[in-house]
Amino acid sequence: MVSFSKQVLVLLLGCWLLPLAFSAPVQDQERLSQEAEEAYRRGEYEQATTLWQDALALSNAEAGTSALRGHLLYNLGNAAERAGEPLRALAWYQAALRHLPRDGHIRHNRDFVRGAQGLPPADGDGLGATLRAGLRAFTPAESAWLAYGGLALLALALGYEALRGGRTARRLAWLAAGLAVLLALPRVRWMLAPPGPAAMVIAEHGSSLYSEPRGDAQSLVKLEATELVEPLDHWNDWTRVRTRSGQEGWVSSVRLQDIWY
Amino acid sequence: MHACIPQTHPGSVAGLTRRFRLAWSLLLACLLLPLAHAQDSVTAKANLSTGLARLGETVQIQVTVENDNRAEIRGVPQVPGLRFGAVMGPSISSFMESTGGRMVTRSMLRWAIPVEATEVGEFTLPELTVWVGGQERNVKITPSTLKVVKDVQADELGLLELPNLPTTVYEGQPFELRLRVGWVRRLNVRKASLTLPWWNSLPGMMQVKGPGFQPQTGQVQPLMVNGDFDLPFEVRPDEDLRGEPFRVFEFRTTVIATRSGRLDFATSTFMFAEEVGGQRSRFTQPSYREYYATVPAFSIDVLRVPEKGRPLEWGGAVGELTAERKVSSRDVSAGESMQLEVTWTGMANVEFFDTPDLKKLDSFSGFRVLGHEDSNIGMERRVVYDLVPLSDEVTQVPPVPLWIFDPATAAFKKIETEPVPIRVTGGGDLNLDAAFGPEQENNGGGRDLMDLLPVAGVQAGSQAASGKWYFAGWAGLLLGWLVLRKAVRRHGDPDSVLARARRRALRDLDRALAGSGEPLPMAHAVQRFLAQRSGEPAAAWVGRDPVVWAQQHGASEAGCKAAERLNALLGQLDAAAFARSAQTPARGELLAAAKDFAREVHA
Repeated sequence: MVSFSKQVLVLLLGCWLLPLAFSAPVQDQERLSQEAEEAYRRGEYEQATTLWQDALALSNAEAGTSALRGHLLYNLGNAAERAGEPLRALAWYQAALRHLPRDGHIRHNRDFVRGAQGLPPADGDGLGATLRAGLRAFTPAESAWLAYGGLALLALALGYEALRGGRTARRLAWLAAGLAVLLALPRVRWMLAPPGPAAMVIAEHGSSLYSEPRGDAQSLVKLEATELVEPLDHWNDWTRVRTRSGQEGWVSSVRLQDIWY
Repeated sequence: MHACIPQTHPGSVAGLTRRFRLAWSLLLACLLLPLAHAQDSVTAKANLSTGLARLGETVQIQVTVENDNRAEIRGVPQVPGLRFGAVMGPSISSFMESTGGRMVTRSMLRWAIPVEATEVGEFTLPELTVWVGGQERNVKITPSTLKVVKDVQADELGLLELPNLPTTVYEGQPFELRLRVGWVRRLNVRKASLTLPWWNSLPGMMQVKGPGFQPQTGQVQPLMVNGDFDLPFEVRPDEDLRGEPFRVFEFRTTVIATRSGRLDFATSTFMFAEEVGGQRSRFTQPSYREYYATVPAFSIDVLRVPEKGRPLEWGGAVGELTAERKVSSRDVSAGESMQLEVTWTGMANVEFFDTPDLKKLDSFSGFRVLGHEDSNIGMERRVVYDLVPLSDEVTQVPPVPLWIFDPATAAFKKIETEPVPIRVTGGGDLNLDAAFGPEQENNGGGRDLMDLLPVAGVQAGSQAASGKWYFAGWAGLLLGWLVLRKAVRRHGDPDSVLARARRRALRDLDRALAGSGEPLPMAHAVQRFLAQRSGEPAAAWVGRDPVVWAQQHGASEAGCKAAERLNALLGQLDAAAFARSAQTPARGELLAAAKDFAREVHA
């Protein structure tokens, strides 16, 4: 039998070592990023891309969004742009925006590259586009926190109304309810369009959507450059995708860039 | 067997009934006849307001349809020399009319179609197609001819000119468009407007952006154009024309023909109206005499810029330009950024030509061109180049060339800025890529990518928050609120006067004790406190024992002790007030006892 004091000692040791176990990949990521940045400064963009991709692979993609991965993806975008692959850069920026949707650096570079390529603004013009951009300005996690914050406010206001009553309390409750609904909108937006794997067409002149995974198959529709599609399956160098209009078909994988990291 | 046939007799009851039925049928027929007639009487008429008009004058076709509220005018006729405006209306009016002793409702739809005379001559108006009674009907316009004559008086009394317009221009060549209008000074002109059918409608002709026309006299008179917008006309000094002083107004702008072909300017009309008919009063509308001065239609040929002799470097500049330059510093270090500002000014298409790309010029091989900022105001184009001299061997900023097409000579020519002598010091092993980033062929007009983002020290963990309990949270919250609300209201309305008084009893006591140090008011304040807590009038607590009250309301031991303490303090206050010998309890002591009482004893 292990004595109680030893059990406690092992437990304490475990608690002390646990953060170290988690911090090791972070340190590796930082080391790789440092090397990648040095390669980038030397103009060795392929080397920088490889190193940043290695750093990216060390993070757990299933764990939601993180600023670190947003920065890595942004740097990959810069490397792609400098290497003369502006559409691939746009894909990396799009992936980075999933983690940091309000980041000024990412938005600037995305808009810059789109402008240089003669592409229309990503967010569009008009009131509707502005409102949609506002809803997209929060990650799923942030939108959940916002929604819960609104709910907490409403709980306070309803509690006050239940305990005290009166016109002021009722008004506060209505106000809090309105605020809660408003704060829930980004969350509702994510519920209606849940985040999921996506890829961007990075061929300069777009790509055909084929009925089968071969180049001489029937072309179903033309996919425009920077159009987003949902990857469904892979077969050799082909990817089966679903377009926003719901049409499914095959696209050559080299014409796509995954943006789900 | 005999059939039973009733025999009617003129004087019998059956005979009378038959006559009555006959009379009733006749009466009904008389009543319904006008109604049936009324239902059929859908009419449509079209009248021209006059058969004689002056050139530029607008007349109207009045279209009236009776008894069909769904009538429509589908399209207006096209007559060369006349311009039909948009159909205005319909205005709907309805009225009751007595027809054959019955009241019948009639309705009338009215439209107005403005017709402007743009050429002199006699024009036959075709029939107007009106959708009436569920079918198309051609309605004759009366009178069916419109005679348009020139307004001779307007030519004498008014002024409308478009002076010095070229007859041919090259595509991209700007030219000045001047509009001069006016009238004899002796006329009491109250209204004036312009009809310029070609304004904003000529394909490929556009106004040059910029600060616009700057009036020299400082006085500006807006004039309505095409019934749609105002143009600012400068009020010019009076001029002697045709032996009489004229009031003159002038508008100037610069326009560019951007595509080859012919610009057809339709007849322009200047309407001015003098007030006539004596003194204007509050009860009389002024009447006007209108004049229509016109400029006949004309055209300008727009020629292609010739291919012959066109240099490869030509970026589309057409016109007359001069080039100026200046630099931000003449004494710079190698690797240090400096600005070269080049300004091209003149009567040319400054908005539209491509400025020289210094990266492509061999003469600028001694510089790294980081980017440029491009702007234009009026007839001036300004580009600020960001340059970095690469070594101390660079001694000057070379001339910046620009190829332009000169319409006057119909040939291409090159203009250049003067070179700028500079002194470059230092140099050595410059790492410009590290300082300014890798060189780009096209960096989007002075903008560039933002630099890398740091990775070290950035939050690596996930911000993941699940929202799956969110809607359950809403439901739980609403349910909890309802339950809590019901539970609270089982003891009465929390917003009632008594409940609110009970809640603020301690605050009121604190305030009352702070306002007075005398024992009697303090005792009254404590009694008021007890009254607010118990929901009774303050008089009920005069001489009443709080301990008994607390016991009656099932207070705990602690509650009874708090009541005893408060009772003792009340006794001290009474003694101090009436015996004037005992010491008044401290305010803090009273408040602490009241707080304990409020916490432990509940009514």
